[in-house]
Amino acid sequence: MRFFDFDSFQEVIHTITRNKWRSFFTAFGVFWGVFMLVVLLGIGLGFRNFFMNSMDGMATNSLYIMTQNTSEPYKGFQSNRSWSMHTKDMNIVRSRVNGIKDISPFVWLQTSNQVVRNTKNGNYNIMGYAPSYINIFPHRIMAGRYINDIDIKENRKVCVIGTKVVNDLYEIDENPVGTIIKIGGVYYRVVGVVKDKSDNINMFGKLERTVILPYTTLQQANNIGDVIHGLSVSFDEDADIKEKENEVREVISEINFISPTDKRAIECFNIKDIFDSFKMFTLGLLVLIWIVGVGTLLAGVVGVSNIMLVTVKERTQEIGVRRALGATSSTILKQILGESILLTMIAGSVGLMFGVAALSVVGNILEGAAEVPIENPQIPFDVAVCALFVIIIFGLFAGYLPAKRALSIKAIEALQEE
Amino acid sequence: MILLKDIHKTYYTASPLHVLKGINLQIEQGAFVSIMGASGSGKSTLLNILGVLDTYDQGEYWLDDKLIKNLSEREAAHFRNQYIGFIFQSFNLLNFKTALENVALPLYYQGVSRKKRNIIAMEYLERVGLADWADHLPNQLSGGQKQRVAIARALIAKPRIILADEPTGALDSKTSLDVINLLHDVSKEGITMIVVTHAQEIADKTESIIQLKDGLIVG
Repeated sequence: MRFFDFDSFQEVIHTITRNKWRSFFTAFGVFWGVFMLVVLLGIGLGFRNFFMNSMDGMATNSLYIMTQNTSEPYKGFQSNRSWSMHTKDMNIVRSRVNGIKDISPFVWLQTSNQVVRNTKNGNYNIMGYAPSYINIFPHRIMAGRYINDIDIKENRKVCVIGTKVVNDLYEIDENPVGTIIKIGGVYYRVVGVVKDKSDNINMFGKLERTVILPYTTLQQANNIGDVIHGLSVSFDEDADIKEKENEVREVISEINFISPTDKRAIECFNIKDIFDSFKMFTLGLLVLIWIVGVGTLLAGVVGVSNIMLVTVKERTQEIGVRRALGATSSTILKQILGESILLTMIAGSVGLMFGVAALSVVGNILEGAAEVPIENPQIPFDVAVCALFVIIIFGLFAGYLPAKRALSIKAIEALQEE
Repeated sequence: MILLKDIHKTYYTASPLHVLKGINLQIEQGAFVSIMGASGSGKSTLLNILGVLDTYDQGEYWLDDKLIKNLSEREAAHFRNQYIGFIFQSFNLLNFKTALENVALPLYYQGVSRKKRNIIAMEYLERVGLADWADHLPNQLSGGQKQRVAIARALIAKPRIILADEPTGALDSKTSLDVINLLHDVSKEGITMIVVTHAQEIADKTESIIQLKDGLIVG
């Protein structure tokens, strides 16, 4: 007998449609399992997409260093001493630590944050960076240019402003590049407009609401000499960030008379750690989704198996008659397995379709909704195809026990059952 | 021709039950015989062995010069399909299939195409006078009609023997007579007909009666 023939297919269809409601509820478990798996997985992957896109352009192997009061007495200095980093610290770190890609100090304005232009004004973050900061943290340049080396060298009174600042202080059709704004009584020329690359990740406040000056200019405005408030460093991709952090700590401790064991005095903020923990979180989420989803699917499959066992029991007489009329074990096997595979396959495919449809609806609704951390929630095509194969195999498993039960039916016993 | 030589059968349940204690029997091709006996005499067991539905422990069963012993499941199924037709007291029609489909079922297991087997099934339905009921489901038929469908189903594979287990047990006496006459007609075509019954009036219609008692043939 051929593996697939229309007759046995029709037999299978017949038995499934004979008890429509039971078949429906049997299949529903598998449908729901696949549906849940697809939807959960899509949302989990959407979450990962969101996260990955947010981190796009970010030097993940980077470190932010800030000062805190010391917590240990050292070399004659008392504990709880306040200390500062200076521009020279940056140069020493750069020369003494290997594998540094970019390094930039950061300085914030210690006086008023008020920015005035003509009759309009507003309060924004005022930050001073080196030109290399653009390589450490992703910026999107909307107009003009970023801070450059000459700005630093000559303490030029120039600034790069965020898009929100532009919206607030300028008319719609105005070009801010080349205009003048006033911060704390000092006039600066606007040379560029920036915003964050991602809406979801920012450092020291959103770039949209930031005015960036050359750090040297800001040092002057602060009137604090060459004090810097912190350092941001990015390392080569293959550098071990933990090791680098320790090296940087060592150098800074040494030049600032801080106990090598005083971890509190130097505050390190490691993007890689955050990145990794986010990655672990996403991975954990996906693993959880797989466990829950596959579990639900398995429950559905067990349901199919269970109902089919009952069905086989009910059909004892029928199977007995078939055997008496010459049905071989393989015909019976094909029939039972065919039923369970067809049921799970139909239910699975419908679940898959509904799941994908639900995801695309969710994706459309969330399109542009920045506050929901999900982006493009879809399952990859190969996963879908793979899922279909797995469902068929599950169908085989579901049919295995009922088929075994059916094969154990002896024609005589079945026929004597009245 | 059927030849049984010293057939023994024991059911190994909680207390072993020696059901057949040495059956010797010869039935010629085309004979119309009945097997009688009280319940527990072993007549159903004998029928199951004759129908290759059950195995026996000892002895020999020859059917058309072929020894039926230690057959694989597949061989047994093939044998039943090709050589043996069954008729049951409770008809055992598949109640979700039409009369025509029920009759055609043995041919399905022979791998005959749908079209061809439906044509053949129709011929056999005509023969038992039920051509007009071809599309009816079993529960739309009377008891006598059901049994005639079952007879058509037993005949369609052109078996060598037909085994009928209490074929009239669920029928009234008028219908019983019709059915037994039909069976008699069939046996005249050379098909061996073996009827198990405990009704004397049915047995009287057959050519010879085999009396079973406590697992032995007594007459």
